[in-house]
Amino acid sequence: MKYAIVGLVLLLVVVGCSSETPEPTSQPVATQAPAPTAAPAPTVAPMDSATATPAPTPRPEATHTPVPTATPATVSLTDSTGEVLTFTTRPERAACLTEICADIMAELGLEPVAVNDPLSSDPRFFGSRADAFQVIGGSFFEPNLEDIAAAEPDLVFGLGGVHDGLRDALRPIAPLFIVNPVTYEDSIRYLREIGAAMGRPAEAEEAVQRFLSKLEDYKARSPMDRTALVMFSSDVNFGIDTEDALTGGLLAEVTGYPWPSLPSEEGGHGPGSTQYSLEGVLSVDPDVIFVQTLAFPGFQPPPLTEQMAANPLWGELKAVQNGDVHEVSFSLWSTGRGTRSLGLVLDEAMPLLYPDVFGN
Amino acid sequence: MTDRPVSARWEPVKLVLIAAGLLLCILVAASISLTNGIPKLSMAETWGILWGEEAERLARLTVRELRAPRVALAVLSGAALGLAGAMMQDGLRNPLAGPELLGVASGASLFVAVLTLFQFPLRLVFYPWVALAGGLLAGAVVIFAARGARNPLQVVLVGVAVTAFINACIIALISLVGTSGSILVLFYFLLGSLANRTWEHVWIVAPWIAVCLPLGLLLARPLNTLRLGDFAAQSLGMRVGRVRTLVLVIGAGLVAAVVAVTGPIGWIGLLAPHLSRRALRSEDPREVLAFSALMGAALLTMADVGAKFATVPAETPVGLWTAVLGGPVLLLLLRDRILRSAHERA
Repeated sequence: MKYAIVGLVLLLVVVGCSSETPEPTSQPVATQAPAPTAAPAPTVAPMDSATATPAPTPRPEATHTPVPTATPATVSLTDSTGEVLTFTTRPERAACLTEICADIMAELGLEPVAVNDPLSSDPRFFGSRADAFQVIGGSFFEPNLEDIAAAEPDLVFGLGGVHDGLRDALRPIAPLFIVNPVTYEDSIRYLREIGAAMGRPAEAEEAVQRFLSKLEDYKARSPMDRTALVMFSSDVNFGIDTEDALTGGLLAEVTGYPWPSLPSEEGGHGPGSTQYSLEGVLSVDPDVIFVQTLAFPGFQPPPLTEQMAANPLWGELKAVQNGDVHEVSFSLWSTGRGTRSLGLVLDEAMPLLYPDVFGN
Repeated sequence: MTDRPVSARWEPVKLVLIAAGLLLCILVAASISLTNGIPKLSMAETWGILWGEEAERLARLTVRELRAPRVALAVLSGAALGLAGAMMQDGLRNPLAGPELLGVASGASLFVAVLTLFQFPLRLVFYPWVALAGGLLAGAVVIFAARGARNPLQVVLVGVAVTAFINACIIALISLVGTSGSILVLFYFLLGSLANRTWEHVWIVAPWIAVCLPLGLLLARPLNTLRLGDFAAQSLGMRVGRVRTLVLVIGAGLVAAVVAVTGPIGWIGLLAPHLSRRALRSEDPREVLAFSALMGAALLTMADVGAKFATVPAETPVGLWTAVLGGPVLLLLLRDRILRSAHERA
């Protein structure tokens, strides 16, 4: 019996040592930099990143393992929950449980190995290639883990507050990277981190600069003299994006967006969105309203503008009277959350807000 | 519910005072709701607008088309839920009976939730009929499954089981086909709210209450007889099964109309009868039913003031308030009742 125990202990030691034994590589070691908000440097440098710092000379240590010719290459990512994900090989195959993943992949010139969101099918992201993407079954809240495993991802993107509970179940399949962008700076940070981790820092930086320059251009040229509102859901139980919401905050930079932050801002699709009173909307009477009709897959409800038409007060709004209520895509405007989605939101919103300036 | 003898005492002054107190609560809550918000108005301005005086466009619209129907809907819905709860408690001789625990509210909610989610092409005016079907189905399952139950607790247990099953169906709906966006529609509906309702919603609820409320009040006498026990009631010539069926149908009708336009608003149906009995110091349905309706109206109107102004101009669903405030109050009432019963036995 005691031999068995000794043998088991030895086996565990060997296994433990072997799992820590790094694979020799000539790649430089990735380093984790402080997370910037606007600085272009990526927070994580991958193995072959041009910005990666050279590996320090390995220190000879008293160890029974052979000293590698080069230090191991690891990539670390810290997600929004503080979980540190460490990769010994660069992650290349991302499975998307949330839309920002597809957004990031599109920005990096990559393709997700599996998706469960409607954003990917928007031709502005992957064109017709999205038709070939493996679809993850189940629902947004309970995705089919077997489908995820079948795609053989080495990184899975989930949304904070929704997919956190999947971490343990996904552990044997791939690490789960939880995202929870609240501002477009967060979206930029995620893009840079993932770009660096997946060996595409240049593409990430190019996408960041493309988005930022677009935003700056709109900001510089916007007359800022019209007010907008983003609202969603149904005719009576509707919600709005305040300026604390991702899209609301973005629009607040390029136009009047008089919907200040409120104490109860967790009543919608994400931080900053909340149920609202029509009384409050009437008091502001915005110039342009962007509405998002929510629908279950396979069902096409009447547009929110039609649903609201039954309300006698709806017709009293200036935007309604002037024909400035516009249906927009919920997946792009509210759950896209990435730089490409946000750029497209600006491209859709600005010509509608200021046709004289940005119209074709 | 203690088996006190049937009360034949009428104390007109006390009844008038309690009724006046409840009406005052409704009036105060309604005044706050009508005058406050965006824009804030004086009572005189609000009164003038309500009586057709010319006013600034925003003030006129908000008072006449948003605030007034909201108050009206709160009063009607609260009265409906309060009466339905009292009828069910007396009909089943169970202090825990009510639209929530008998599955009636859950059944109605499930059916309307499916309608809301999948956007079946059905006009809003027909929603109460769908809710009624759901409420009646769930209630009938409870009554049928609990047939022969001697202990009132058994009926509640069956109701809880049916409610749990219906809630599981709603969760399954979310889990199987929900997306991050579509689920918001269901989420908002299930919270129960009076926000942004207009006269159209009031006119959908009003006919149901106009029919079901008097019918419910007419059941006061047989329900009072039923308090003697099923056997005694039958020996007096009452058809107990028929009375219970009427209680279920009328109660479901009241709840269905409310659920169809506001979503499920919990606890009013449970709390209002208990508070009424306590205020009246009577178990007599001939008093309790009417006062429970009045109490329900007062409770919901006051709760909606909290829902409207806690985070103005954002809305907190009134269903959230009734649950958060109603739960602890009901617990205190039941605890007090248990202690009193123990004291009386001693």
